[in-house]
Amino acid sequence: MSKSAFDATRGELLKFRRLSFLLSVFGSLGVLTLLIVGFAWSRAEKHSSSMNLTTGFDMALFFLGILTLCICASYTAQEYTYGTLRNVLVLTPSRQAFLIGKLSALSALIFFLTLYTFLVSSVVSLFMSGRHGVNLIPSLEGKALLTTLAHCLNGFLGTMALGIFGIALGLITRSPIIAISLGLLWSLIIESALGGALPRIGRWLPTANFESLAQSGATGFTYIHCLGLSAFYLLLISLPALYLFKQRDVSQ
Amino acid sequence: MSDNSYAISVEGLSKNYGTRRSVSALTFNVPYGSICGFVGPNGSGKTTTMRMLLSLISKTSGEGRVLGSAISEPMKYLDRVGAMIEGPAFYPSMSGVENLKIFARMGGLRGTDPNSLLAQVGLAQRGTSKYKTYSLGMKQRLGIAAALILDPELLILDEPTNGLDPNGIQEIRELITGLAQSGRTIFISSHLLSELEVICDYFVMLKAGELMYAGFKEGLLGGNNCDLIAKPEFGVDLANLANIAALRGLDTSIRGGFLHIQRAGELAAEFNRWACEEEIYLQSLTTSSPSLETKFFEMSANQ
Repeated sequence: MSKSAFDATRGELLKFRRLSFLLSVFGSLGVLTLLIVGFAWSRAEKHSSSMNLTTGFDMALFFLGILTLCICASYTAQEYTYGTLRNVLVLTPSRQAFLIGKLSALSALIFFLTLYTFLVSSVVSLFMSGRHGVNLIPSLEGKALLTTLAHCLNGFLGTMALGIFGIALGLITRSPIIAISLGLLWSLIIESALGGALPRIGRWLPTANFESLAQSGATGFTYIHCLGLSAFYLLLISLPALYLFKQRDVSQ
Repeated sequence: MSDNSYAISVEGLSKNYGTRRSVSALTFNVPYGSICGFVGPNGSGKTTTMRMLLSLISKTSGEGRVLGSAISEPMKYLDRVGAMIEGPAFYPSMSGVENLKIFARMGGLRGTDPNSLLAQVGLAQRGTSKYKTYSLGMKQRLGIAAALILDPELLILDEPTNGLDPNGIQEIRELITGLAQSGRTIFISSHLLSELEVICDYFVMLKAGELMYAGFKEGLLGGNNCDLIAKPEFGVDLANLANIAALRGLDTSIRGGFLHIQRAGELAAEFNRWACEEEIYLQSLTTSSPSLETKFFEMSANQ
């Protein structure tokens, strides 16, 4: 990473070091993860073999993904709406460095959000498992622990994919509201409608595929397949976004 | 084109938006150490030119150099330039200090003290308040503080007094004059021509994207541009005095008992002699420079 990209990353990270931001993001994520995982366990049958340490985490990842998409789209597009991009580009003339900085800082945030979601869901799962007669301790030992951690890492990768999708939307639309609306419209409504109408293609759609990646693969889709397809979709949206970011004039 | 002898040097610089030409073949230079007023009505291309100089937008044609480097290579000079373009722009939910810290980090500066920058612009007391709670004047001052982060050689300020009350305008004027005294070149645009007239020693004037004037203040407002105002000892001699000037091809007008002779500032001694030769003695003889505003409208009308 060049010095200017490193400086841009440090500057971007400073934006997250605000109590109000951290409390609202981590607070809402924590409460929702607790509710989602608690709900999943409350519906589980006693001694259910389908419940494990990451079941609740997988469910909470959906909300984390949506939250990430909104944060990334908003943090990118607001540089245009606030007009701060011109300040930044006078100080960090390389647009490439600016983007690397933003991506690196948002990646760090997403990593901590994923880890936090994993920890909250794990604590809730461990707490609830006892009441349902399920022993989760083996998931934290030996090879099972590595599998659990790999699952967490895939959760991060799937969430990152949604984050990059959000950044690209922010760069293309240059408006937080439009970027978030488009992202949510596609992820929650269009994909669901397409998946409902054409079940065979449902899992091939981008958001569903990112979700499968986060869950270390899905029925009929290997992990590598999900990884490849995710990379393809990200490339598909990132290339026009990067081109527009490089070529467009910065003005209001 | 001069390369390194000017802080800003542009030649044939143009910018088109589709078929509309926003800036048309501008050619001008701004000397090092000057306070250059960039003057023109709304839509004359001032902000577009500033944006091109800062590489925020691409030029359509022409060449430009800032601090000796081509504007196509902004990495070579932007670390020596501070700018506030199109008004101040900051993150509204963060304080002035936090905003400055972020921009300082992005500029690769670690030891920058935001409080000293805020003190320079008179915002030390409100540094921890959120930007969205600032008045317009405070926002403008924070914008100037951000432009000073890199301790720049060249400051490019777009309408820094926009929306300020008279006190605010005076504060910004003193601030800019103080900054110029430390050897910086300041390139400043404003609609308040009377303000620019006070602080600037060099002017670049635009109209509809085209250059009207580029040069020192004296060339625009001083020398031959001064009017001569004469008052004879006796009012009855006023018409005769006007004749003396008119016979020598000078434009005159009589207003309020005074004879105004246009662009005759350098002829004061001679005019006094001509009057004496005709036995008309002057009660007063003064020169009057046209204001920047007068000059601007005059030049606009002539174009």
